Amino acid sequence: MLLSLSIHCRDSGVKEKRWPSSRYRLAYYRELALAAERASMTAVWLEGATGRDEDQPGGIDPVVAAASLASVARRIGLVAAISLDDYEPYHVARATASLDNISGGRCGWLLASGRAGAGGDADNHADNHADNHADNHADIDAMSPIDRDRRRQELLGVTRRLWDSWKDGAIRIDKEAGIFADPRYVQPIHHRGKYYQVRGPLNVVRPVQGHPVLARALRQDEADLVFAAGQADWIVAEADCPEQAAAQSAAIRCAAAAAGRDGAQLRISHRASLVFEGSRPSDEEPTGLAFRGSAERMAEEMSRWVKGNATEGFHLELAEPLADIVRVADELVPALRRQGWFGSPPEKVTLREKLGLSRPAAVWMGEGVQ
Amino acid sequence: MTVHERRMHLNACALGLGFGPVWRLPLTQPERNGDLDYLIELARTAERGKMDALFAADFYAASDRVESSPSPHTEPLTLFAALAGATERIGLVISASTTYNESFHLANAFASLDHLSGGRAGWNMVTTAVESVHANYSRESHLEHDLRYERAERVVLEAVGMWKRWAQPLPQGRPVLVQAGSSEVGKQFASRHAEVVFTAQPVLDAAKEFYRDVKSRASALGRQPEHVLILPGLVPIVAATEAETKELERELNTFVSVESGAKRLSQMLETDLTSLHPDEPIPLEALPAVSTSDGMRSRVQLVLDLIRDQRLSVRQLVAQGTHLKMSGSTVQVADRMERWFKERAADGFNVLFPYLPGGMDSFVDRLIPELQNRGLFRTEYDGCTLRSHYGLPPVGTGSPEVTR
Repeated sequence: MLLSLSIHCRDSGVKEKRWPSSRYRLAYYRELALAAERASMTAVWLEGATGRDEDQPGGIDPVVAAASLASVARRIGLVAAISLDDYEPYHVARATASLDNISGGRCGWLLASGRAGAGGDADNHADNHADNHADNHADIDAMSPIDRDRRRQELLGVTRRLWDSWKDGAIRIDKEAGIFADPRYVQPIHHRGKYYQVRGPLNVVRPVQGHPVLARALRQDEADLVFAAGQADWIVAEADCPEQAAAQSAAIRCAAAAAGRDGAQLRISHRASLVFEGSRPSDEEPTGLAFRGSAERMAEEMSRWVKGNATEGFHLELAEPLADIVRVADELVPALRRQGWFGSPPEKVTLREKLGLSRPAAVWMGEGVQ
Repeated sequence: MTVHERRMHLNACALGLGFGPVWRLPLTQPERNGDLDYLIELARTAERGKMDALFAADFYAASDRVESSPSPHTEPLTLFAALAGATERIGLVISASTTYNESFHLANAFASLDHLSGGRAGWNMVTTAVESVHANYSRESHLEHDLRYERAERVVLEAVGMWKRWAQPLPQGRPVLVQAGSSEVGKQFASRHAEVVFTAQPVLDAAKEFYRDVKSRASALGRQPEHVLILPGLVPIVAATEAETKELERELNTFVSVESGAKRLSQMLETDLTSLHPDEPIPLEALPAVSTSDGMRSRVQLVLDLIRDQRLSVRQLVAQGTHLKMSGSTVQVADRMERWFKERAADGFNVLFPYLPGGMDSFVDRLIPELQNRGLFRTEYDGCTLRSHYGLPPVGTGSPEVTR
């Protein structure tokens, strides 16, 4: 088994001091993604800000950032955060299918939560809408956790059905006969649920990967573990030692099995920071798991985790992303290769292929099924 | 202060295969429509031609003709973000609905595109006339015309307010605001907010009237009329000679179906055209006097005017489409573009290429050099932002406030 490396690129608004305003430039993301690609990383995860204060920018929209990288870095997976609470499923399905198609099947969707920049906006909607056309989010904050979870489950279900509303083989492009697509393979979904009503089909053709990879950064609570294990293809968990990580991985796989999922279709990575020997001391000490010292030592330590089946990869949060990623590419990855835990992935594969996940077929329910 | 020569502004409508039923022609490559490299080639061709911006419309529902017309592989925001990474100067204008998006999401998405493209974002503020869309967005009903504009007013003011308040300054101050509806309410909205107006104007005199109307409305609100650019849609059909152009036009019309076109227009005009003789002028008494349509009201009115003005038959109407079409040799088309520009029917054009990529190649390789030779179009980009290409004032440094 080989180890997967990925990197987290978080934009937590201008309050974040450690990244300069260069993160508002494409050059920043380009440099980061190209270095990550050079390090044969599986993916870069892009997360925007979820602050509620409108006086601060929401940060760079992760879908926009990921899409701009699609033409710049042509091999790495691009995982973009989109909140489960903030958008209509038609928007989510369109954005993710588009990113997947434009990147040749490299899209992941980081399942985030919360309403970005809602501020006073949500409250105003109720009053302003003489047009009786209120946006579908106004009462999310007043919901009980159980209802919020149901709403998220519904959104995910609708989004999957929208991706599936174009079956494989729908596109014919028969110039002679004048058939662009076979209409029998393109169907509305007629979803009428408690929170969403969506007719479909999607106006973007089926994603290259069938379904983009659903990713989730696990929070430390039982409810979130059940949610992630039931929905996500790729989970990033947190643990301090291999033993704890192994137990946690087992718990996730157990919950996934209980949800009726095939354990082979679930990848688990662990969050880690790196403190390279001789690097400038950072303002903040990393929290949680940190690998320290020389690249050689980090690689040895990492391989101990993989040998013990504690994890399948490390999701890196770097204090000085642009400086640290170069050392990952030039020092850590060669050391991991020497340990035999890191291969050279083939060029131009989909994110699912990089992660060893199969491509889901389109599933159609009967029409009008709730 | 230097007085700049008035120059044309040209946008490239660059998503897809071309404007019209052309995907079945040997001229197009529908199998490459989802291929990022194909789309990058298109964008770079337009940039080579020093065009102001790429433009893509957006739709929030699948076509009801998926069998016979190409469906997109990507929505425009995602595509244009990808193109931002593959181009340097050209503007990136995208339609986004004020009816089916929230102000924060719009403000944040366009701010993000503006940042990552280094100041090249433009937002075409559309209200979404297509009725079926509501069923994809958990809405009980379609929002009717004037209420859509009421909502648009609020959403745009909120978005503009956020760009002003946010701490991280935008490369352009704010993305360029574009508007594309030409109904009465649409024109009022445009005169308040739009810096660029897209419009369908196939008739020169009507276009001049529209131009004068929107500019004087903006002027009455204290805005500089030259800071509201009027760009009618233009379908250029250009080949090396007049004869070759005729041949090309004939080819492009291969799959224009009078029958289905008449059906579509009948729905649009709420008048049955299918039973009329295809080659005799449409009897005027068959038509409604004015448009009361809830959909694209101005577009319906325009078709009615066109039929009356030119006494068109059903076949001619279907082939004409609603946009200005100019076909001929390079010199002939350049002459007409110059005339529209100089007589103030247009500040430039939103160019709808009849087929891609060839239609853009011939425009960039033939027409643009001709326009450049006449001093009507830039030979180099002067600046780096879309605002600068359009000659619009910077925002955020004491520019006059848009009033309600």
